Amino acid sequence: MIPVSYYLFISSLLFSISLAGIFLNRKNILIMLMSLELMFLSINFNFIIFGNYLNDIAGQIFVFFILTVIAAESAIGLAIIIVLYRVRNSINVDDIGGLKG
Amino acid sequence: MSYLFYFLPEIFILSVLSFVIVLDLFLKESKKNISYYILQISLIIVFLYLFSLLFQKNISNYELYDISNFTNLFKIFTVLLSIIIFYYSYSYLQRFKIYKSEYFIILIFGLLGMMIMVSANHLLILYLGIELLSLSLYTIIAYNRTSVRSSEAAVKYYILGAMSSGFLLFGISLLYGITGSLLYDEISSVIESMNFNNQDFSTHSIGLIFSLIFILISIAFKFGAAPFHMWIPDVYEGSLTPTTLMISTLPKVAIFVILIKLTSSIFASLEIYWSEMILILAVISVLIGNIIAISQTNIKRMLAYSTIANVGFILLGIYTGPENGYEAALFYTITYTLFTAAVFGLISEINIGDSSLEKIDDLGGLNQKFPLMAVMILIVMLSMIGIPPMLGFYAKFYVIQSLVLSGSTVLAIFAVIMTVIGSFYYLRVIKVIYFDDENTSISPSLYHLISYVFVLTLFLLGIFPNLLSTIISFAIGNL
Amino acid sequence: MNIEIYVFYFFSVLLLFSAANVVLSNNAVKSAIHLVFSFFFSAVLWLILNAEFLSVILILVYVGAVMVLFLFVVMMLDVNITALKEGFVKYFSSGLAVFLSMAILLIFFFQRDFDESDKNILVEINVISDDNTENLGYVLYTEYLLAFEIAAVILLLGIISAITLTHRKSSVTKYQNPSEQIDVKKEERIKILSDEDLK
Repeated sequence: MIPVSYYLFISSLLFSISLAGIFLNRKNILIMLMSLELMFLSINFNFIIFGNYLNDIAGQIFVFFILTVIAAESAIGLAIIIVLYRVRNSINVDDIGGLKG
Repeated sequence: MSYLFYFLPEIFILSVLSFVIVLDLFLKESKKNISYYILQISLIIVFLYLFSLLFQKNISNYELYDISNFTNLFKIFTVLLSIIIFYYSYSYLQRFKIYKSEYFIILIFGLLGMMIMVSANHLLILYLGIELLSLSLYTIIAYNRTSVRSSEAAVKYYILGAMSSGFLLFGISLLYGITGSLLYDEISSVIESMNFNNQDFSTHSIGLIFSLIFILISIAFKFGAAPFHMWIPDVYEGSLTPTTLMISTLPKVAIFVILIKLTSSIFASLEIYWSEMILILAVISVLIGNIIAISQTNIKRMLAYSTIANVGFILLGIYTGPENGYEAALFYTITYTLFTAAVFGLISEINIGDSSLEKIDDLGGLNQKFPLMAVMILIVMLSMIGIPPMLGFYAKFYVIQSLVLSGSTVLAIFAVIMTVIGSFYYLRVIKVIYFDDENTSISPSLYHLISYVFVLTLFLLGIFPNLLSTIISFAIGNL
Repeated sequence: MNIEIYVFYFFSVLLLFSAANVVLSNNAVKSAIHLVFSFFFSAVLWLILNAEFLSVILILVYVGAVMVLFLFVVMMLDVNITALKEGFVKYFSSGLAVFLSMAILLIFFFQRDFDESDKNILVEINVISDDNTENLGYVLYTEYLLAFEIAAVILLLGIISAITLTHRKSSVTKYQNPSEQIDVKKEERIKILSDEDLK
């Protein structure tokens, strides 16, 4: 049997990669969005692992809803990006995550 | 079947909404405003229904959803404020010929989200409510599709908002893994049974602190507290004035309610940890908000920083703890929300030439041309500074009083100094209105009876502050 | 039992590899493809964790719909790749720092607290049958019915928002109106001009 902590290592590495990805790709919104997808994947992973660990179905239910919400969310996000592209002809936002005084 | 009774307001709003969505397709372009009127009337009906519920005893035995008098009062407040916001948005959108029924439909979705997240007693319902609100906010920020700033602000808010939802979820997943439950009450009893105190880092205590940090960061993001405030100025400046009016008022109250609900149930036994984190957020917010606001020339941007400062004050109230701090913080939140609604409402009513008001200097000499409007802005600004007969004074007074009562005199002095610094930028607006040269292109919209009534009501509330504080202590008592 | 361990190691390495590629690649199409791979590999891992239904849903809904949407947008927006590359080096150290600190903190915590399998927690066992899908469905339509309804509202909002934001009435599109075509009268089709009209 694989210990729970091994799975948790994978999910936390995934979370860290996605967080780093958001910081790395500040100029590229599309990859930033993909990093966000990755982040939600790692969170789903967490819920499934904990659900399995606790022998409780609620974790999987939560994942079910996260998947639903993220589908709607990414649809809206891509729509916003298309709007941005139409008015600016590029999606090259300078320093989105940066502090702007 | 009997459970449905608990969701009656939400179900009613949702049914009207679905009806309007379909109806709107069949309306002619010139008659689209019918959908606005239908939604507005349905809000008034919901308001009356919620008001009648207040005098009944209703304890929900549906554990996922809570309909105590506290959440009921919150819903009454949000619906009432939504009616006002709807009025201002409608008049603004009509004036600039960008009316679309979708704007109001999406606002109603946001309202629904706030009702759900506040009533939630279960982390999943909370998450879904927050998402419903955030998704509607993303959309109305990007509503002005022809503006570059609007869509840039929307992208920025979207990415930060999605990240903060991710943080919230990560925190929730840790809580779930540690306690094995998603219900507020169960989680709080499990955490209590672990009874770990300050020194003892027993098993799982680090995990709990982790999840607390993640959830607090996410809430701070949505609230606009200082190290996580970077979206506020851009979003306020980029979106339409009625959108700013919406963003700066209702979600703040909702998030505030979530914060006190979480800190008084799930994290009640972790008070030593969260109170310090909230203190840090509060101090940074008050500092950054007040100091950067001074140098702003755009009125929306200035109000954005003043929002951050006000959020800091609210957090200072929460920091002092459930006994006396929550009441002060709630009083502050309600006052802040009402006056922000008033100021953005007034701003949205003023035209500069063919566009809406952006620069503070454009207000120059408003007094000569429209003295009544100038008096309204004067009242609102004086209250936001905290001049005694106004409501804003009592709000600041209660927060500072609770700080003194909880023994943190230094913080109280800090708050007073920051209030003085903050008064500078509000006074500048007054100075521009009363003493600067007249700006000829300024032209308020035709009638703003609602604004007058609204501001007058706020003024009267300031003269009788006991009215509001009685309601608030009743609300907190029913938390 | 052994094979489970091999599957776990194999797919977790692949998962982390493709996840890193999503983040490090400069080409949005490449990132999207790697993201699809990561979804596939995690679906396999979810299978080992007894979440059969969700792992299938992940592939069907995620890879099938959301990622296609992503690829669609990536292809639609002709993004200048070289412009997007700049800043990558500048942020590399901060990204690495974020990654390392986060990973070390989380791994430290999970190592410490979930190593021993002491579940001192209240454990609800919500199992109706051996069938994962049946269990999920049972709970979804009873206990979590409210959440299910709210999710429906969220999807409705998603539809309306996406359409509101991107739909534009095209003025150049030519289309037929059948009812007008049928209703047309003889007099409207041909107008006989008299000599006076021509003058």
